[in-house]
Amino acid sequence: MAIKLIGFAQSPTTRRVVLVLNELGIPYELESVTEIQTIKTEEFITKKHPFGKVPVLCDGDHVVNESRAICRYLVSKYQKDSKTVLYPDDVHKASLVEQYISYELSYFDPPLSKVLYQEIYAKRRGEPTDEAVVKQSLEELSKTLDIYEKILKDKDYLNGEYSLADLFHLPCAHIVYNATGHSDIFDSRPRVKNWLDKLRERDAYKKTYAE
Amino acid sequence: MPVLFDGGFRITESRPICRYLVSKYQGKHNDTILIPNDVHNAGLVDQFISYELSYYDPPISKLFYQEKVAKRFLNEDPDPEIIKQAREELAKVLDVYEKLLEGKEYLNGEYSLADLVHCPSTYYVYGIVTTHSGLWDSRPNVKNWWNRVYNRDVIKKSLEESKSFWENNENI
Repeated sequence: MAIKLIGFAQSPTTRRVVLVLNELGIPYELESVTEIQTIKTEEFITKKHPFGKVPVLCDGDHVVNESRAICRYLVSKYQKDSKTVLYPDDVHKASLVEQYISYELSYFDPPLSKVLYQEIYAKRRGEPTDEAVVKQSLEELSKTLDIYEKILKDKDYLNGEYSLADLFHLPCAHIVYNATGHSDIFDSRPRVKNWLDKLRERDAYKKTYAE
Repeated sequence: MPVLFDGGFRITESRPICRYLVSKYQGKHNDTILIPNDVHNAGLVDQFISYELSYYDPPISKLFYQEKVAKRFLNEDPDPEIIKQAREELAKVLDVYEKLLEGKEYLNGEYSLADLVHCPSTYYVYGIVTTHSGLWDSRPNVKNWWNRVYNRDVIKKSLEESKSFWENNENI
């Protein structure tokens, strides 16, 4: 039975999982959610995600949710069948990958998500954009990217070699870069720009974003 | 902070540090299992760790900021609106946890890193700032879970060591 991924096809959290599925060459079916009410029903909350969110992965009888947990599960189970290494075996390298994953969660994603919300999702909901939040979030993101510029000194990827940590950053960065007119915040920093360019050269990225 | 040094190796960020310690040392000094070896169970532990980050910690952090950090370190008054909204958000999260814990002693059935990562933030808002303990105590499964986790020797000792930091550093 193929793996089933339930999610909003174009949302960054669903795409985070699709990137891993494509990197590891894992066949899957995407069950696209079209109506938000379908993930708020009692049945979905009981069987798929208690907080009524997507993505959710169904691998046979095994159900796991939360995009980063799904990604780690896929790597644990299927990386050995693939030539692509997203998570090193060596315990010291793996822990540094985890460290950079934590930077993504703690310092990169929060301001990026606020910009995304104000510039894309609020508009879709007919809410006004709060320019003060956008401005403050871009300032916060600038400080984070200044640090990334140093982290990426002499490196193409955060931990030297490509890993899950780089992949996790891509989906939200992709939308803010392509759909909000704030690409300059990345492109004005040469190492950050080089890093994102490298991520976009990967086959899995091209496959994920062609769909 | 925190930063861990293990010989010549340095790592930052609390949750990666925990994962590193589990990867390297689990089973070497005692029998405690924090991340199961089975890939499916480990995936579920990761899922519950993600719930802590995504849903549980944000409202608790707001309460902790308003009621401890703002006044003590920044000389700002707590904002009652934010406290009210954070309590409402936390109540909804704990309603979900109440169902998750039905028939279970711990989030994934057996004790794991997922339960442990909930400890510090819960302790501060339940233990040091006591006005919110009712949110946990009014939900039987959540109450039992927290008492069970808190009363593990290692957890109790670690958390109470941190209590003395707050008590001994009133005037930082």
